[in-house]
Order: sequence, then C-alpha cells, then structure tokens
Amino acid sequence: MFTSTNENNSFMRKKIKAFFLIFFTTSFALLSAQNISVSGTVADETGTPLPGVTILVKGTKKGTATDFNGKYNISVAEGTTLVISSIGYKKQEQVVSGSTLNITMVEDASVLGEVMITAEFGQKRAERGVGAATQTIDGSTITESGRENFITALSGRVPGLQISSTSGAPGASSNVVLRNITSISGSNQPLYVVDGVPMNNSSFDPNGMAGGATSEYSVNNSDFSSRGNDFNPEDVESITVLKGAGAAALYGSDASNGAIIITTKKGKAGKGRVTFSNYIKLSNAYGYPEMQDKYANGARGTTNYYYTSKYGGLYPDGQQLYDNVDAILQTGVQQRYNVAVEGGSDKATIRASFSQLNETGVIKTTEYERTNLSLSGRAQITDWLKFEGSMQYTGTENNKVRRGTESPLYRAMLWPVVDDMSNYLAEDGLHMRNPEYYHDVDLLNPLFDMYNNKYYDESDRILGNVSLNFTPIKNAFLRAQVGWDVANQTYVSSRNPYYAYNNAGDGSYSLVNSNYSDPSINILSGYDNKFLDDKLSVSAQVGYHQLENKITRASTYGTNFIDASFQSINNVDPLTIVSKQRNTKRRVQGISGQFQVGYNNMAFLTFRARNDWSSTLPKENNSYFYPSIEGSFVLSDLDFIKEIEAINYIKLRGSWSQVGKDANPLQIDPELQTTGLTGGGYKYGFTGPNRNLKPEITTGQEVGVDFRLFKNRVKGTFSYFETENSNQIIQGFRLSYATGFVLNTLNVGTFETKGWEAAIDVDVLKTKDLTWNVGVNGSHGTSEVVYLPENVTEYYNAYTWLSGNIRTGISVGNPITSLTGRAYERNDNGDILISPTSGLPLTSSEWSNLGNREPDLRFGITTRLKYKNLTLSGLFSGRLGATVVNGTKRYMMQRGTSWESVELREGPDQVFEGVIKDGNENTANPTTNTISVDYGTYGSSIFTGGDEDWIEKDIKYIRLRELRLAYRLPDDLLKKSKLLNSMNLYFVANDLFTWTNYSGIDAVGNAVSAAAGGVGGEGYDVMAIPNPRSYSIGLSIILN
Amino acid sequence: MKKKFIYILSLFFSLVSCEEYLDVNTNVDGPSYADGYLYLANITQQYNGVYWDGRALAPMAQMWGTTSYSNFALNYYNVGSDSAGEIWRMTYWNQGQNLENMINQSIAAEDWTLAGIGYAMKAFSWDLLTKVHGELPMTDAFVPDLLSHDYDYQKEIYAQVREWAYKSIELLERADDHVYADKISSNDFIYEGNKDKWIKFAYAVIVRNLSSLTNKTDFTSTYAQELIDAASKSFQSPDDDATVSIAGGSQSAPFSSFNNFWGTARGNLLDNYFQHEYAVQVFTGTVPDYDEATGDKTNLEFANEYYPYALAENQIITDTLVNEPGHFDPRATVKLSTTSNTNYENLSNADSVKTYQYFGGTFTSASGPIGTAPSVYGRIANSAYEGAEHDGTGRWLFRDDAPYVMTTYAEIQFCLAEAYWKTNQTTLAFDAFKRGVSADMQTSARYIKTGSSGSPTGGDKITSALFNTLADEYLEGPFVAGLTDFSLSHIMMQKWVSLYPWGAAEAWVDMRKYHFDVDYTGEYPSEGNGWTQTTVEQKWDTNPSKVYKGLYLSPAQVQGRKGTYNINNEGSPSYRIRPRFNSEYMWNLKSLEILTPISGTAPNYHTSIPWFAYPGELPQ
Repeated sequence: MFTSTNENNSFMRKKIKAFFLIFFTTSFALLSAQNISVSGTVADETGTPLPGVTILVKGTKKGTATDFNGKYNISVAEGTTLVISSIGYKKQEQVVSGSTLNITMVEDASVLGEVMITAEFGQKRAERGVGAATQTIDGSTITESGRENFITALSGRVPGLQISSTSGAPGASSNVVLRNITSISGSNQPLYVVDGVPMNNSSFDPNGMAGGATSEYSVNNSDFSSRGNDFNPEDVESITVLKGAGAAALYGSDASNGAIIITTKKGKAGKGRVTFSNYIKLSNAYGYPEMQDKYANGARGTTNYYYTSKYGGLYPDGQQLYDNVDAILQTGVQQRYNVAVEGGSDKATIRASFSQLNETGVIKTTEYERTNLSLSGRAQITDWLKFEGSMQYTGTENNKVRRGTESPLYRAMLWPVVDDMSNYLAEDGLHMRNPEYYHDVDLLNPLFDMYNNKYYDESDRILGNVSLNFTPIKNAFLRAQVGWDVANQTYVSSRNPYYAYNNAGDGSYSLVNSNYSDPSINILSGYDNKFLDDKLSVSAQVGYHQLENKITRASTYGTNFIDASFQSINNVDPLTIVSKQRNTKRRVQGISGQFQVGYNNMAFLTFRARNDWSSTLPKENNSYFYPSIEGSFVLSDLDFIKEIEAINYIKLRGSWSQVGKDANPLQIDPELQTTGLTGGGYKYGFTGPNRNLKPEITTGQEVGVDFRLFKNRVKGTFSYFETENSNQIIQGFRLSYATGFVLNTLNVGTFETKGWEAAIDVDVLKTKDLTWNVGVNGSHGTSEVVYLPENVTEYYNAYTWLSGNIRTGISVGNPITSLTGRAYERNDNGDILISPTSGLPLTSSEWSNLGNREPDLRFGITTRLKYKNLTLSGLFSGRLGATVVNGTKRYMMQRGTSWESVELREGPDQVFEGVIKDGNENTANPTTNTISVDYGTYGSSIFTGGDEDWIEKDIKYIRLRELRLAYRLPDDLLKKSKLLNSMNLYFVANDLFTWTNYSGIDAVGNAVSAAAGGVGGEGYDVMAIPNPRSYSIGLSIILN
Repeated sequence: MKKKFIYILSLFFSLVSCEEYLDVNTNVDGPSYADGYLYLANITQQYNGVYWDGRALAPMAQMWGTTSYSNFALNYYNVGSDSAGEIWRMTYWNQGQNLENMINQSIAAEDWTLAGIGYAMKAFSWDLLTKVHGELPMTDAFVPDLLSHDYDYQKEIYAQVREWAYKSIELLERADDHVYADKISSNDFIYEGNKDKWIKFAYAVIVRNLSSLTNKTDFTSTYAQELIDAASKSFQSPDDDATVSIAGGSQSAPFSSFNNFWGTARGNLLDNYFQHEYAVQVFTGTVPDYDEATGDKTNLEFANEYYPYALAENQIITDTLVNEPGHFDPRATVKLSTTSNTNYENLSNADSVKTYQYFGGTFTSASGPIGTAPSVYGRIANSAYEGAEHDGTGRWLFRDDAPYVMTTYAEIQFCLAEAYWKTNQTTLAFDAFKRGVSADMQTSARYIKTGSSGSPTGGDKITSALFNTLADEYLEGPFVAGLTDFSLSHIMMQKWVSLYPWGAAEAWVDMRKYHFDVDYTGEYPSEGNGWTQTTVEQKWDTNPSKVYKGLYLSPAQVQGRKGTYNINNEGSPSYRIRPRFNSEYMWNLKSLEILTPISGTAPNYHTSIPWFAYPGELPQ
C-alpha cells in the first residue's frame, strides 16, 4: 500500500495531527449545559459520604459520580429516574423532584454489582470473569503517599510487585519487576499503559555511545531517570496491575512481564471545580554507616598518611577531626504545586492540570525539577460515537552525582578525617586541593566532583492519545485509538580536568541526545449478548494492533578542556571529538481475539489469542501465535453458599497462557565497525549476529481465589503461579570464541519460576466515627534454571561484578538470582582449608554458588485509622530471608574505616576454624588449624576477607515507608466559606525507620541502573545512599 | 450512519499494511556487509596480537624476564585469567569471521588473489595458534548455531594448515584478470598486493609448520623433503621478509593503536619487561661455566664487576671478550638494550660501541646476577616519551613506527639448515646457516634508528654504517664463515638469536621440540624420565647432544635456577599455554574436558606435550 516507510510515517503523523485537532475542537464545543441542576450528597447508613457512587439516568448511559465528599451534581429533566449504584451497596432508583436529592445507600453484603476492572486497551472487564490475578489501586492512594513518582508510591501495596530504587537521589531510576524476573539479559520491567496506550519507561543506556566505554557512563557508576518518573501522580485516577503474562495477554510481547495500567482523570460532570494542592517535604540522609575516628591512616599500627586505609596509630590528643561525610550532605527540600480544573456536562467533561515539582536531594548539588501539563476529557458526540482523549506534557531537569565506588559517599569516606574536605579548592580557586597530611595524590575530593563536574539530563515529553468508540448496532462496539509517546532527552556528563589524581586530567565532555517516538494504533471491535433467559452470556472481541518504537540517538565526546571550568563540547580539543549515532526502529503488528462465555453470571470461560508480526525477528520466524485460556467460577453464587451469611463472595479462578516475545532491534544481521588500526576498514564487533533467532515464549499458569467475608469487612486474594520461560533470547551470551565472536545473541536459556501472592484486607473497626483497616500482603517466588548449553557452566551479568568476585551467576539447577563467587576451599567434609604457612583460609579459584538474592518473603502492611475527619495511615514494607551482598562493609573493612575493623585489630589473635591443607585434609584425621593470626600485624588485605564473608544471609528487614496524618475540614466549617468545597491538611513521613538484622547501608539497595536490564542489581549494597528520611506537610483544596 | 461507520472503518484499516511496514530492522549506522577487500587492512593489522602475547612467550623462551607475566616465566599460568590469550582472540575473533568472510566472498566473486592472500594468512595464524596452545576447535569453528565447539587434535590441525597454505598458492597462481586498482595494494600492509611475495609467504608457512616436526621420529622420512622443497620456493632474500607496516604517528596519531604495540606511545613495555640473563649470555658470549658437581658458577679470582664468572669454553654465537675483528656480534647492540652511553655519544665509533655493558634479569626480576636489566629502551625506568631524559619514540623494533615482524628469510634459512642437518646434508646445512646469519644482519640493520648524539631522547646506540661494518667482520669471522665445529647448536642458537624477540613463539617451539635439553632417555620425556616432582635434570653444556648451550630451566640443577615448579606442574616445564580462559574454561568446558592424554581441565594441562614435540604418536 505504501511504497516507503517514510511516506507511511508522514501519513500517520498527519492522521495523528488530525485527531488532535478533532480532540481540541470537540472537547470545548461540547461543554454546554441543559435541563435543571440536581445536587446532593450520597452517604452510607452511618452517614459517611461515599465518593465514586455512580448516578445514571435510567435507561441511558448518561450520568455522573459523587466526588470525594460524596457530593454530586447532575443536570436532568424533572421527573427523570436516577439509578444510583456503588460497589457493595444495593442499587436504588430515585425520581428527581427538586434541585436537592440526598441519598442513603444500603450495604449489600451478598450481591455484588458488576465490579469492573480495566483490562487491555482501556477496556473494562467484569471482574467475575477474569481468570488471572489483578489488583486495582486508587489514584488517591498514590497522591497521598507523599512520593513524587507513582512507581515508588506503589511499593509495598501490591503483592508480587518488586520495586527497587537505584538510590535515594532525586530522579533515580527504579527497577520494577512483577512476580519474577522473566529475562536474564533483557528488560524485566512490566508494560506501562496510560489510557490504553503504551508508555515508554526506558532508562538511558549508555552503551555504544561516544565515550561510552568510560566510567562516566556505565550502569554501575551513573544513573539517569526512568521515563516512568515523568508521570504526574495527581493525574492518576486509578492503577490496575495485571500480573503475569496471562492477565495482559492481549498486549502481546511487551506485556510478557505483566502490565501496569494507568487510567487518568478525565474530569467529572457537574459543577466545575478547581483543585489546588501543594506540599513541602524535607529530607535527611540516614542509615549510612558510622566511621571509626580512633585510628589514623597508615598500616600495621603506624600512622602514615601515604595510605588511604586507616590501619595506622591512634590520633594524637587534641587532633581536630572533621566529619567529611557530613560535608557532602544537606537537607533535601521538595515542593510540589498542583492545580487542576475540571468540569463538564453529562455529555462532555474536561480536565486540565498543571504541576510543578522542585526537589533538592540530601546530597549537595543534586536536583530534580519536573513540570507537568495535562489536558484530558471525554465526550458523547452522538448516540453512537463517544470520544476520549488525554495529553500530558512533561519537562524534567535532573542533576545527579555518580554512584557506587565513584560516589561522593565512597570518596568522602576515603578522605583523611584530619583534613577538612569541604575546603575543596586549591588556593588558586581552580585546582582541586590535595588533603593536608596525606602524601599521595590518589584522592579525589567528592565536593570538587559535585561542584565542578556535571551529570545531568533533561527531557521534554508528550504522551497523548485519542480514542473513538462507536456503537453502530446494539451490543456491538468499535473502538479506535491512536497514541503517541514522544520525547527528546539530553544527557550531559562533564569532567573537570583537575578532577584527577594530581590534578593531571584532561577533562572530558560527553553529550548525548536521545529521542524516541512511540506511536501506536489499536482498533478493537466487539459484540456481546445474552441468551437463554440471560443465563448464557457471550462476548467476542477482535483487535488490530500496531506499534513502533523509534530511537534516534546522536552523541559526541571530547577531551582536553581548553578552559578548565567551562563545560561545553566546544571547549574541548577539536581533534579529540568522537561522534556516534544510533538509530533503531521496532515495529510490531498484531491481531488479537477474545471469546468469553458465561453461565448465569457465575461461571466464565475465556479464550484469548494473539498473533504478532515483529520487525526484529527474521522474516521466517517473525510471526508468532500465542493462546491463553481463563476460567472463573463464583462459588458464592451457589445456593447453599449464599445461605452462609459470613460469605459474601468467593471466586475461584485459573488461567493458562502463552506470550511470545521478540528480540531487540538489529540482532539479526551483523554490525560491522570501523577499526582504530592502521588502514581502517571494517571488522565485526563483539557481538555476533543470529539469522535464526526465534521468538521467546513465556508459558504461565496460575490458580487463585478472591473472597470477601463478613459483610465485606474481610477481603482477600491468593494466587499460585508457575511460569516457564523458554527459548530465552539472550544478548551477550558467551560461548567459545570459536563462534567467531565474543558475545552472541541466542535462544538458549530456559528457566522456571513459581510462587504465590496473597493479600488480606480487614476492616477491624467500622462505626460511624471510627474505622480501622489493616491490610497485609505478601509474595514468594522461586526460580530454577532448567537449561543452558552443556558447555556453559555459568552465565553472568558482567555489571553485577561489584564487590570482590561476587556476581550474579546463572547456572543449571539454581535460581536465576544466584550469587556466585570464589568460595573458600573446603575438604570433602565441608571444612574450610587453611594455609599451613599463613594460617589464613584458602580461596578457591573457581566460582561457586554462594546464595540467592531473592528473599523468602516480600511483604507489605497497610493500616488506616480514621476518626471523624482525622485519618492516620501507615505503610510498612519488608523482606524475610533475603541474601545481601555487603559491598559497603567490605570496602570499609579494606580501608579500616569501620568500627568492626577496629574491633578486629584490637581483638585477640584469631584462629580460623578449619583444617590445614597439608595433604591430610581429606583423610580420616585432618589436621585442625591451630595457627593463630594477629590481625594487627597485617595490612588491609586480611580485613578484606573472602567473598563468602560479605554475603549476609537470612536478612530480615522492615521499613516504615509511610506514616500519614490527614485532617479534613468539617463540612459545617466549609459551609461558612462560600469558596471552599473541601480542604485537607496532611502530614506525611516517609522512610521513617528501618528495622533489620543487616549490617550494611541498605538491604534493599540496587547498585545497578534500571538501564541495565537482566537480573538487575537488587541485593547489592555498594556505597549507595539509601532513601532519605523525609517529612512533608501538604494541603489540598477544592474550590467551589 | 452505517455509511459513516464503514468509511471510518476503512480509514483505519488503510493503516494495516504490508510487509514493508515491518521492514525496518536494517542498521542505518553500521553496515552488515562489506566488500572483501575492506576487511583486509584489519586482518593484517591484527597481527599486533602476536606482540601482545609475545610478552608472555619471550620469558618462556628465556629471551625476557618479566614482573607482569611472571607466572608464565615460571612455567605456570595465570589462574582464571585471559592473559596470554591474545593470539587466541586474534585468530578466532579479530581475524576470525572477518577473514572467513573475505575468503568466502572472494571465492564467490572469483577474486582469486584476495582469496589466496586470505588463505595464506589463515594458514599462518592457525599454525601459530596450534603451536602455542596445542589442540583447538577447528572443524567446529565459525559454524553457525553451534553451542559447543569440540577440539581437533594437533595432528589434523597441522595437516589442515599446510592444506590452506597450498590452497593459497593454488589460488594465487591462478590467472586473475580482475581490476583491483588499489583495493588490495592500499589495504595489504604486508606485501601491498605483491602476489609473488604472497606465494613465497605461503611456502614460508609450510616451512615453519614442518620445521617444528624435526624432532619427530619420522621427520626425515615424512616431512624433510617437503620442507626443503617449500623452502626453495619461499623467501629468496630479506627483501621478502613478512612484516606488517603501520602508520605510527606517536602522540599525534588519531588512534594510539596506529603505533607499534612495543613502542613508547602505547606504554606496553614499561620497565616490567627486560632482557633475560640468558639472552645477554648468548649475545655477548658470556655463558658461564657451571661446576657439574655443585651446579655453581665459578667466581673468577680477578673478577671485575662485569665479568665475575668463569665462562664456558664453547661459546656458540660470539666471544666478545676477545677483542679481535669478527668476534663482536653487533646484533647485541640493537637486540639488547644497555644503560651505557646514556648521552648517545660516538655512535659510529666501534671501540666505543664495543664497550657497552649488558645486564640481564632473572625470570621475574630485573635485578640479575651481575647487574640490573634496563627496559628494552635502555633505561632503568618506566618508558617515557617526554621529560628531561626519555625514550623518544623508542628504538629498533620497539619503536612507535617499526613494522611488526611476522617471519623472515633468515628464519626460513635456519629451518632449511636444520632440515639438511637432520638429513645429514651438512654442507648444504652450513650454507643455509651462513645465509641465515647474514640475512638476520640485514634484517636487524633495517630497523636501526640511530639516536641523536648528546641527546638522551631515545634511539639506537649505533649507526647503521658501523653496524654493517661490524656485521661483515662477524660474518667472515670464526663464528660464521670461519666456523670449524659447525653443529646443530649453531643452527638452533643462531635461529634463536634471529628470532629475538619478535619470534619468541617460534623460539619456544624449538625449545619444546628439543625438550629444553632435559636429560632423559627413551622416547618420552616425563616424570621419572627427565624430571621428578621437584627437579628437572638438564643436560650439562658439555654434553654434545645439548642443543641450547647455557640453557637451564628454572628450576634446574644450576646456581640461581634451583627451586620447584608449581605443584600442579608435577615437575614438568610448561609445554603449552592453556586456551583462553574466558573463551574455553568458562564457556566450552565439556569439550575441553574430554581431551586426551591429559584433560584440558587437568591442573597440569599446560604441561601436556603437544603432538609436534612428541617423538612418536601420542598415547590416547
């Protein structure tokens, strides 16, 4: 049809522009009112106002919903019958007879209305018919969390949702995994969907860019924002989490890790209103380890400021010591302002919002700024045509510091405490000052780094979608949706020439411009009807889906600054400038189908299938079909169970599904590179092509139960799942160089995961004035590698090689989150072998399995106590039985900066438990070690120990993530003010306390940027500042 | 309304497309295909990898000592490390698929010349690779979709190497009327597209391949004549030497890798590599006399600091102490480095040049028995290209713009001499020997870049003219033309000198095939028959069957060499470098494990004697 992709592109662009035009003109034109205005409050039997109650004109789909205060406003003709419904309450009808109509809802414990969940493409599905686990989070939960991004706000609230932030720094990326890791080298993030349109949640991946091999740009030392952080939490109406491949099967490849579905606020019908909210938040770093201040730099008890390690003598009396760690810290301040206006009629609603977030971090110089502007609305255009649309603009700016062993914390801990580090400039005001006393020149002042180097990114992004819903005939619909997520991102990394040992650097400047453009089209058509006296329900749906991910990157890198203090690519030696470009495009077309039969609204069977065609696979393998089947049975609708009053609802469910997954772009053909050798020409790069790549397949099955008991006061859910990930497309898989390559892209790994998720929510107290609710959720998952090529003993993610020789090693029979390292040598009996000469344990030269990072249990606890207008709520999250790599402590031991190292050196001589490796170690009478070792006589090496020493097992951890006290101004007070509709004041404390048996900085740290993909760096604690403790105070006002 | 609906529906489905929509997986930033000749420059330049690993191999051939590759110098290896795996990486990856593509594409396009050049290099690389590592995955190499790569035994690899070389000759001799313009000449950094020289090179590969088999029991019956024939069609003069020319450019080169791996700009030979005392002994004729009862050197009663020990009677290369014309081998001046004459004075004065003092280090320390060995550039300091006193761009072969030497006419002549010797054609052997020494003089002289008088800024400490004069005297002297006791030692030790240090890999081949002159009886040198767990008994220099006079391993029974190998060696010297760790031990373990007679995963696999050095067929 189209002769070239360019034409195709511009055609589509025009089409999208046309839709936007329609969107803006129609949404404003339709805001006209009619009839009389009816308003009132909807409350429950105790008088508590009920928000979100649906009020419909009988026989139509026109209507409204109550607001936060249970109030509603609708324009209808007098005498109209209104149908008022809400989940858990009996549906009732009221005839309009005046301008005020207050309604009292009666709880309906036994019969539940149609609870709908948001499924794929913004479609609603009856919760009863869904066979896989889903969970919906209300938008207010997100806004009330005190978090600046919605991803962090979800943490602890959804069983099976693991969120690991890469640091507590402003704008840090987050790694999100639903259920379990499903890919050992690719992305494990779920698909984010906003109003039916995929949202890009990428983090910057520095590999392959100009200057990319330098430490300025690596996933261990640098981190740039995840694009998911862009979304304004205030725009969220609700979030539905579709877990596992099954729940999101219709989304195809990208949702094989599950999906997080965001529905945005579209404005409410009735009286227009203005919402204003803001908060101010103060944060302080805590939880970083204390440094010893007893012994000075040196070795073997002798002070010598030539050493960075602190194994010297005692500081002389009266010696002034400085808290150099404190010198890099400050109180972080965060402020957010949000204004939203909304209004409309039962025909059309519109909402616009503006939000500004300014944040400074707990580490000096770190900053994050975000501006959100959004516009959304919906309109019933004709009887058969409905329109919805939303658009969000986000602008961000982020100043960061580096991480891990390049971090200010690590460097500050190296600085001799006899010297005031905060005085970081040399006398000329330009060079980096070397510390007093210290004689070597291998220390870098982190403050010089922070104030003279730059790790910065900024972005402008627009995420928009429009959809049209046709109902050409009764019981049928056609929905067409176009979405577009497009962003322009700039990354700067600049290094001052004097930020180098002996001030002898060249300076370097790296600039990367990375744009993406993700347009998508989804067309769905469906039909549903009921037969046999409404006993048999049938619904069918087919869809066509198309999406593109286009990335355009250009980068330039140069060194040798002309003016040391000026940061620009124009300030480098022109001869050193290297530039690179990288452009990729991925396109997927898909056809989906769904067929559901239901009996008596009690038993449902759903068949779903999708076929994708992906541009990233070889032509002969680029089409892949995957089916799924779901069943659900509402046990509580059986007559004999209906009689049991305590049981309100029990649903049994199960599903089996497959999801195919394509490769990343450009994995099929080789990529030739220019060489840096005389004569130039071309050569292959590290990675070999694979012309036979096949789609990888995730097969999942789950069973579960959802229930509500005791007048719905107890709600619970439980799921057990198993998945098999086969034909894994592994990038960077290593085999013998006889392949002709160092790295290969292959379909090689197969592994299985299984686990469970459970949640229970109890209204412990429920009276008119006092309610107390407690929720507990937990999840457990295990995995096992089933197949790797026979000759490969271990596959590892090189970026997890962060502390000693510990890394994430994947081998057959072990979990994919296994840690491997060089264990101590042991005899057949398992005793550690001791060197007969030194008395020290011997370390094996081979890598072996040392532990599993995946905890036995991840859990969250929520609690909410409400007394009249006062609400106190809390959120705890934690883990049990985790294994953590304590890289921080290892570094501190090596440098002698920890108090533990002081204890060791001052302690008695130590005899390591084990047997001497003297040839008798495997006989019946091995020689027990009796050689005592005096730590004091050793330099730093002995304190560093072996890999096994830094793996802490069975870590228990619980953190009070959120404590919130909110006060809503009473109605009578509000009535006096004509202006105010409602007013809330609140105080939130985040990350207040952590209880743990872990001895490092952060047991839930993640030492790797989310950009890395694969198994990630959760469970590696390497000198990262944990989430700071913060307090915020906020205000939210709705104006009349 | 229905009409509208149909209209809108058709509008949407107009976006549903065709195959072209999905055809976007093309790399617009890097090509996936290149013409054969575009691979050529890279393939030739990758031979810098030989110099990379030369730093591990030179200590194993007792040319250098090192503080970096000390495990190799001590006949062990770096556990869990890729070190000394660069030739592996070069053959399989850096040349690897690039070379395969060049050959296959050229054959498809009937570009016989380019294909022939490809086969010649392939033969050279695989010959080198198997000599260093022994068994290799060859049949399974470059086969798509394989997840394991089984090993081929060396005997098959040897035959295949020669087959590739003959294939190369056949292709190069074919009429090829394609117009290449400068496609080959400007990308071929070895012979600039000179077909005749490439044919000679392919024959040189065959000679070098067969030459490593001279100590096999069936050498004379099976291989000798083929070697002699190939040598006659191989290089005819030092003009045919195979070298890879490079752009150089030192600090102003656009990429530092334009410079020689051993030049000062790359900083790869700081002061952690230095000449071995054995090199100094051979080059300067100061192989000491050992007391066969104690293994001790004899201290001279009137010793000066430079000559503290009594010397062995029979020096093979030279006898510098005798200050008469023909006794001084000027190659010492360029091949060895010296701290004498720090100010580069009188570089054309023979009397001055002859007074230079040379010190060699031990295997793992620059501090030798007599003095401290300097860096290859001639200072007891890290290499530097700036400062008050520095090494400039380096000197001789250790210079930013010096070409890489792959093989020489001299080497081929020594191979020929050895083959004649083995077949009892002593006169022909002596003629080839003389041509070899003479050729090495020319080759050595070619790379001299004389330093500036009075300026301690690097360069050689002799002029080319003086070198040539002294060389002529030497060639006429008692150690070459005037030789009266011509022996295998003269051939092999002159070959060793000519290979110094660029041909360390081949020198190590020779030492291994003569089993380091270990004193053994029977056909198989092994524990109990040549060595025990702790010591290796080597032949005394007085033993007429000892090839390398003065060569003692560490450990051996002589002073300064007593000690033990790593316990895993089980008393044996190293006979091969283990395959690259992160290719084979991590990702191809099972295939390595099933090797016989010693498994590739055995702790002593590095002592497994390769087929070429084994007198008969290997036990299975």
